[in-house]
Amino acid sequence: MKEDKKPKSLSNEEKQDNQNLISRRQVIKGSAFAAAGIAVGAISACTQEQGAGGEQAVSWDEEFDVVIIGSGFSGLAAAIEANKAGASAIVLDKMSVLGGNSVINGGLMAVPGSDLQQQAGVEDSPEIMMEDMLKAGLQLNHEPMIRVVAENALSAYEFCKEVGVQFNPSVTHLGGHSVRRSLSTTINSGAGYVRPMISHCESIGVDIRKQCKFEKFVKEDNRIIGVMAREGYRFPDENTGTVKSFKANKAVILATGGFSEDVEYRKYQDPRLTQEVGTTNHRGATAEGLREAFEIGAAPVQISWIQLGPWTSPDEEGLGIAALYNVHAGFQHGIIVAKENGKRFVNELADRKTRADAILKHKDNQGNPLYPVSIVDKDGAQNAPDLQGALDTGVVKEFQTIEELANHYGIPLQPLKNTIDQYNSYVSQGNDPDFGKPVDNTNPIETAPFYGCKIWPKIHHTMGGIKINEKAEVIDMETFAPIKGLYAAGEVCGGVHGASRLGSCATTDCIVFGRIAGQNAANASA
Amino acid sequence: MIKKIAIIYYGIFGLLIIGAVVALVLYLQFQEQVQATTAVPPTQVEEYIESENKPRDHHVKYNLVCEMCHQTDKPTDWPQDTSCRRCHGPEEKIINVSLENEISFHGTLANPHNSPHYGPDLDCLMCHHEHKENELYCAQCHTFDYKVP
Repeated sequence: MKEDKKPKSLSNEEKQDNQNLISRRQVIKGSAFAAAGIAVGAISACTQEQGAGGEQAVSWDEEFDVVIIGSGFSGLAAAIEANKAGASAIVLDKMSVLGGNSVINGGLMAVPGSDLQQQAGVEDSPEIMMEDMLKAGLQLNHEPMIRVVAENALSAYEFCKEVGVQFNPSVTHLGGHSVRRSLSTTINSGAGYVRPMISHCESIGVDIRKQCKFEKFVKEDNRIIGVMAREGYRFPDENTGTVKSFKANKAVILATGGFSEDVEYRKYQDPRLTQEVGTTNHRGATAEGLREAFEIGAAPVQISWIQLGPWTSPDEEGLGIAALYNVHAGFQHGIIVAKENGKRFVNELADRKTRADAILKHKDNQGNPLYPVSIVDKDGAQNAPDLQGALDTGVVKEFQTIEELANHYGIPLQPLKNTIDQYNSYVSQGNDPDFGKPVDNTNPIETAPFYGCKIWPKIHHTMGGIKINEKAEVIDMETFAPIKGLYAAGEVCGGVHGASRLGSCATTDCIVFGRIAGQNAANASA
Repeated sequence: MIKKIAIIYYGIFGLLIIGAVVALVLYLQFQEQVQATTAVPPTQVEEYIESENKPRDHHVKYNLVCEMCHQTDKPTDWPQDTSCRRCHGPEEKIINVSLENEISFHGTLANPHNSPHYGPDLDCLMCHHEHKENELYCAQCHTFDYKVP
């Protein structure tokens, strides 16, 4: 059974319950809005009158085996696996574009033991990857969960190739990983996974619907049996669209991603993350999916661990061009100095959290940011993948002398010169006693022109989320048992990354758990 | 006795205040009604064409009515891409439309109508608006110098 566009007719028993509920609640029968009213009412009836029946009375608009919320890596991987297991599946996404954060991500995926690693002569194993993730995550990671990610990464990579993902033949070494293990797509973007997966879904008959916003779970006898979603929704106008009901014969999969763009919600978790702090995320990365999961009793995990990327610039929106520039040139071959005193204050190659926390401390008495500046010379800047592009946007600026640079950014000149001299001496001795930056493979800052880039961290990833187990079943906060009929995968879940996520591990996490959720949802007993 | 007079005075004073408040509320409601009945319904095409949110000139030239894009003379929803494509051509034509600036990004042409992220699937209305300022959807992350027509 693929798709049933006609409203599903109800059994006599269901009709009886339906009538009871309607007479009790005086809800007009027939319209989609009435259906929404009943659903919400019934959910509250369930929570208020635990064990007192709580039957649903929804006139279903559409019916599928598996209903998936979110069209990022997790949602699409889940849809493909559910379909492979013989289930009919639909993917709903509230946005007017598909792919969420996944389609704008950098396209890197951590895989221990890939053929590309072997060709490059890199020895690796799931155990080594787990150790790296635990170290970055300050040992807060849920170990059984990272084991699932690390041990299934290789088959996730094979899965990607099967659906048409094209990988670069190289393996990249990202910060915090002990070996080179990050693979990248030929277009250097997460779109390199998302677009082939969407095409694959279309070819196998998975229904993908954009502008369809998940609103509520529909629950019956402590089991999730469907969702209410607003079709024809135009983000972020909550008055658009019409609420429809989607029946899930086997299960619902929540793959709604993180909440970096949800200012109110993230401020509750970390009060420093006010409206003024930018993000690298798409605008739809908000918390309503997560909140609905809490509403029906899902257990929260480490919600306040929110990762900021230290490489971004306040002079542009989003991830922009500064991130790549600073990773490859500004931080690798240069220094970060404070605007107010011209001094270094952090190991420019420390983990993301250490650097972001150190940068965020630079504020004036009123709390306004004093943007630090990354400085690199001509030779160092040549390592940037698109130096001209960065200069064209004005995010990176070129100066013939250090005086010019200091003048432009308002950095006191003599302290800055002292800092640079000191740093250059560290580079020549191959050791940074101040902050421990690995300087054995970097350039001194001495050859004009010099390049400056204002930096300020942006919110990048929310490590926390709902608790799932190794089968991607969502865990109930009160019983610690799986909530029947509900699976989740990806950034909406917590536990895999602990306190801080290692670069390129989210892609692996999302595809591994998305596949597991899809397989198990398709085989869930109704 | 004095107490009784005081109560009467306070009573009268109180009634006066209540009366004044009621009169004010009624007056304000009446004013609102007058304004509501004299406002021009937004569906009046002629008025709309003269308004601040007026449509593109060439849409006006081709005898614009709501129906042309919205498929109904009383629109409640955004139009579909199919409306735009009836005049502006199919996907293949849009992909090859010449842009004001050709922008190279990481060595390839940054074509908003066929981007690495969304291919040709981005709805026209993500950038080209009729009733509000245009926006460059890519500008959420990229600094491209395109002026959306």
